[in-house]
Amino acid sequence: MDIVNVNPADVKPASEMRRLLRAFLRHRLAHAGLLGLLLITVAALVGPTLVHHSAQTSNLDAIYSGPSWSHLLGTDQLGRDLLARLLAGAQVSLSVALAATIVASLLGCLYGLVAGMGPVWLDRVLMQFLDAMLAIPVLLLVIVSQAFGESSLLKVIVVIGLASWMGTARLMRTECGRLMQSEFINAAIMGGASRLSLALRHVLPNAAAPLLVVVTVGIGQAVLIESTLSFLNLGVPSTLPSWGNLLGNGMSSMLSGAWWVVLFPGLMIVVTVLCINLVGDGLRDTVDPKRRTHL
Amino acid sequence: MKKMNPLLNVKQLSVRYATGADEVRAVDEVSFSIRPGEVVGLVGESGSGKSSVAQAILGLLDQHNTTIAGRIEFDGENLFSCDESGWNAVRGRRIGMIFQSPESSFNPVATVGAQMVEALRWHFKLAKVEARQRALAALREVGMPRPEEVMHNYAFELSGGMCQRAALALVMALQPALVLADEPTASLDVLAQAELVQWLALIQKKRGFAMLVISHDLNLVARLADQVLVMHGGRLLEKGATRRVLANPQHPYTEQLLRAVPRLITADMRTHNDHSVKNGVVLP
Repeated sequence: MDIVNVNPADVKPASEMRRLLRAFLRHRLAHAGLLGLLLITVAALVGPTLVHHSAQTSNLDAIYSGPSWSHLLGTDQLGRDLLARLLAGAQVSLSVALAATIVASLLGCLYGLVAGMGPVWLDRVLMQFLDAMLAIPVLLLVIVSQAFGESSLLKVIVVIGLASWMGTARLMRTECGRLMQSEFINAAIMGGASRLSLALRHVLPNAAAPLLVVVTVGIGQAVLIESTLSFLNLGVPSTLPSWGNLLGNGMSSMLSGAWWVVLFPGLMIVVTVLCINLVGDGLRDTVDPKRRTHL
Repeated sequence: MKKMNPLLNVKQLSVRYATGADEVRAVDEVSFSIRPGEVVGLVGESGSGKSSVAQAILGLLDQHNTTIAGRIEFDGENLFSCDESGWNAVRGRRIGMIFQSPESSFNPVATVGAQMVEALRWHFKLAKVEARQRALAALREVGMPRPEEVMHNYAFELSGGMCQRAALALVMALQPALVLADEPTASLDVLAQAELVQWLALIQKKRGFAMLVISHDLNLVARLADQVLVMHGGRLLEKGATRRVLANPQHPYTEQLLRAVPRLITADMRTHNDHSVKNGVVLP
């Protein structure tokens, strides 16, 4: 009989992270979404320096002029260049969405971890409170927040963050329950790990993949909420261009037949949210292969 | 043989799980004891409550939905009266545990070495370098090939058998007086199983710790255990010396278990009245 000497240490399965990355890169729709997001981000960052017009300078000789070579996307009711405003608005809308999602994610993770790792009674109280929070409409929250101080970017960020942490919190709580059943948690307890170290070093890193999916989709949701609020004049201060503000200003312009003032900001919102959701879908299918759809 | 004080004394242990409105009696008034250096096998089919016994001994049961009754004494101390720091002094350090699934007994996002070093530092208040030395020595003691490399590996980079041996090395490094082995070979292939059992037997002899081997594999229990407990539906049906229980089962369920053991015996072996093979189990 032949004996082949194979050292078991030589046979190494692929790293989990590398496998996930490869699966994500095979997802074609996620490619499209990622490419779209990349283009939008680059446009928001370098675009304003490439456009000759300023986002704030009005030109009363060119009110409501349609798309032309000098104003590619036309001008608004004060003759301001729509392309310049759209690009400047991208910076505002995207950074507000990103910051609000960070606020919501931190809050949600902390809440879910405390509920999942704390004593049983605290878990019950926190989850009941979360259900109650889910019953409050976002708009109500926003209108109440109007009572507190001037509208500012910071306030919009905090309000959107406070309105959208619940999904992350619930996911984190579920992941705690799932992971706390794992043997490596028991093994860590045997190694003297404290409750805090279990939460931060054992549970949180292992919940990173599903959290990433929720956070990604959350950015898209935040773009939508920001647009809605700004459209209603409850969001970003009207002195700053944001996609929602542009859309809100455009409403009255529709009556003058200036369709471009509404169409382009609306398109930007739709395309951005679509791209983010495609990336989110790609991530979800990577993390949870059972739900993968072949496209 | 001189009667020693038991190291572990489980008295009338009951564990109940609440599932919605219902309640499942996973463990029903189970009593047994383990003397220092003794190896006890706990056998039964899956769902018989074997693992719940081990988890109760270490206080690892999910507090959300379980009720525990009875008493567990370890080295004369009532474990159920332990506070958090009391548990921390017992878990790992005085009672070690080898888990069922080798890959999942290490955190997938930290290296095997980091986890061993962390546990050693915590329990013995060692410096990092010293803890590393001890972890390496422990890996060498269980015959791990290239221990330096394994320290830098993640659990998923090792085979099941190597993971389980790394887990065994960690348990040993903490020098417990009692080791609970919960289905230590269940998820290994036959060769890795044989290898692990060999190391387990060797190290138990060398270190002389007491051990509770939980398994449905009667061959494993026969190979390692001095005493056997048979569990079914949360109850302890039979207990006694391994040779006696396996050769001459008193309870019909034990007999049934023995008959269910897969055999690899040829016809001529069966006619041979070999005393060491009874009911397909190789007796010690």
